Amino acid sequence: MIIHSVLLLIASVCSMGYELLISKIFFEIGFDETLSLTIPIGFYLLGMGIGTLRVKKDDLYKQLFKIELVLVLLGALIPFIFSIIHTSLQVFILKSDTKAFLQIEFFIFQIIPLLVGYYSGKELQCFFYIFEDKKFRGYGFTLTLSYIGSLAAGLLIPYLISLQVQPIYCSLLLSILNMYILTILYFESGYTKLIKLLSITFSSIIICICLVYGNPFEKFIISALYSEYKSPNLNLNSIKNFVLSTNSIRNIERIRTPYQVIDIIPRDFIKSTTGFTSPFTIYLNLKPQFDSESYHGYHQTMVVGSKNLAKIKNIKTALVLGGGDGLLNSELLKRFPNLEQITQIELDSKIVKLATIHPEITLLNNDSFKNSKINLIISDALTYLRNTSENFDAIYIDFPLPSTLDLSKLYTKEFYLLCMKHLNKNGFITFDVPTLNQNLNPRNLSITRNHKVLYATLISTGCSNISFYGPLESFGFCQPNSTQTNFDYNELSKENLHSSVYINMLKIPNPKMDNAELSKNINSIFKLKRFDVL
Amino acid sequence: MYVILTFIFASLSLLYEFSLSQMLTSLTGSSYRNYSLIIGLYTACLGFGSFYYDKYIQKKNISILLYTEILLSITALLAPIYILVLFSSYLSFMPSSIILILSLVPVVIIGLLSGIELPALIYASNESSHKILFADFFGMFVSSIIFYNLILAYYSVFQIIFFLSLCNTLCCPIIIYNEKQPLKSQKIFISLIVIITTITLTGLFFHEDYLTMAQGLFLK
Repeated sequence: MIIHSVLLLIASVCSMGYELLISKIFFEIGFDETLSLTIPIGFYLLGMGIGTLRVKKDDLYKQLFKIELVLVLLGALIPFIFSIIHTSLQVFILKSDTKAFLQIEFFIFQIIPLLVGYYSGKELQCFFYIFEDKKFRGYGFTLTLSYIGSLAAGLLIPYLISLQVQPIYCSLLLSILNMYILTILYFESGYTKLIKLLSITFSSIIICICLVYGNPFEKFIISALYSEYKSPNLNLNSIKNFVLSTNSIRNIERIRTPYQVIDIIPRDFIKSTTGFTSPFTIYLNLKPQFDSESYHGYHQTMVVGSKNLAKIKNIKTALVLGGGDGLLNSELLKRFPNLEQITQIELDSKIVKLATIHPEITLLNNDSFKNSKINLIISDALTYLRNTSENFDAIYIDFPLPSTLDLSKLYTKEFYLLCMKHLNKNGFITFDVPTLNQNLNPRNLSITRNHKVLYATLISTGCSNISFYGPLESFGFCQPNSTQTNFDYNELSKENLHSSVYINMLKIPNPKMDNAELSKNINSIFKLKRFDVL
Repeated sequence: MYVILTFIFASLSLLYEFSLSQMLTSLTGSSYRNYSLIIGLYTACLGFGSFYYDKYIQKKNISILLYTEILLSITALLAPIYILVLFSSYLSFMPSSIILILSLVPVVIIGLLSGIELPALIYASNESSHKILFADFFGMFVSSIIFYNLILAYYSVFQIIFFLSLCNTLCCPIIIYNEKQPLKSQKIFISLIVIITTITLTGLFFHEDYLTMAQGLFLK
């Protein structure tokens, strides 16, 4: 029975491991992170519930053998199934990325965690009956082993992911563990030798194929995701064209960190197939971060716009929160020649490492991390702000857009209050506003829900000078204890700006909101608001 | 009736974990790591809890079930404040990894109590264990579906916790009422139920003040 206990423990690691990997894969193919973390576990547990009801008390080893065989195959094929279906839908069926369709697709995909849960539930119940038959311990013992296995999976999977092991290979590792159980059951199960041998051989072949083709498959899927190839119809010929076209485009490099997925898209990566040129681009969590053509616009607007609104010529100390690509540092060093120190807080050391060694990025950021004025601290911005005693002349916030509730914590009342605590007299804060596709007519610049939430949040901190600007790249500016300011276009004309940046130097009028509306729209760390992000 | 109660308790239990996970993510970052750690730890504690019941109690014991529910309500009520105090007062002089481990104490307690709860419900009910187990899994399924879209998007962590704790407490009179024989410590149970109900209702009524207090603590 000790062997059976070990088998149950391994089986539980695999089951919960698959569930955690499913969550990770959902997130990596573009679904919302919190949704990917909470919904699949629900379907997995529902499956477990149904599975426990569907076990008969006879032929337990035979049932268990069948269950393990299904789990081995599911485990090996889960990442492939998800990626193939998702890519096929994107290329052949879906003509535009509608949110509603993605939500439907997400819920259809829940059949996989439901299936994994169903077979895991059956597996647990089989072990329970086997232990009961042999009068070995009680129901609590079975549950304990199963739950300890879940804890092991909860530690193992994030650890493997942090070691850069691709989800495909994590899943294969679990599948091999399930295969081990299947092999042990060879000696117990009531099936004929031929069936058992065929089953084990077949699943071994599948695992080997997946091991060999896992890496090229992932590269292919990532390329397909970014190439945005659309085929008018679904037939053998169009599938062949799609495969050939995707295979011939340049490789996209994916780096997984504990905090995000970084995709590096080389220049002209689809030129060989479409003839289109495209810039070198970095994506964070499948959202564009910057590209080699338009990065000027973003950082010049942020730095020069805030400098102009604050009516200052120079600052001595600046705090940069986020901005691990080093581009903001480069712009700050250029626009404030008297700057003595930039303290930069970045959570993800891997993006900084990338920004210091990648030839394309170092070219864009002028190797800013090698500048002696940069004091880089790898830490969480909230933790840093709560512990530091330093004050700054300016705080620049360059975080990823709040596409999830987790990221919207960086746009909260508490966060801004902490920032304000560390400002010198006449200091200011500048931050990115998650708004795209503004109305370009300067007489009719639209106020979005995001502006309303940020305005209400900043008003709740007691800040008096709040400005939003930039119809193309939108930013927020806030200066406590100061009166409302406007752009000084004479001063702006003296700056050597990229032509597109001038269009961005337009103020968006502050929203008019009554007290009730203001209070309803405050984003707090304890009551997070969603932002509209494309 | 125990099938319905199991469904409710399982939903509440997972909702507690999701809420605490969300709070920890807000304070520490890295949701995938926190989520995996909390779900893993929570399920392990469920196991230890049910193992404890199976080894040391192993029979119908309504008092244990009631104490478990009351303790769950109290732990849930105290958990957000405990985590907040930990992060606001100790972060400056304790390594963040230690703070993270200490902040998982409520997760462990809620997991253990929920683990005791399940076999206690199986033994208390006349239904087959299959049905109770299914209700348990189904309850957790429902909570995972509603948490993100219907709860987190509209309510503060404190509102959620107060409401869950209130639901947990209000199930206790149903268990007491269902028992034909009066329980040994019935008066203690009823007093505790009244006290916790009052606290949770007050908390729900004054949740804005609670939020302001929490913000003050966070910014300390």
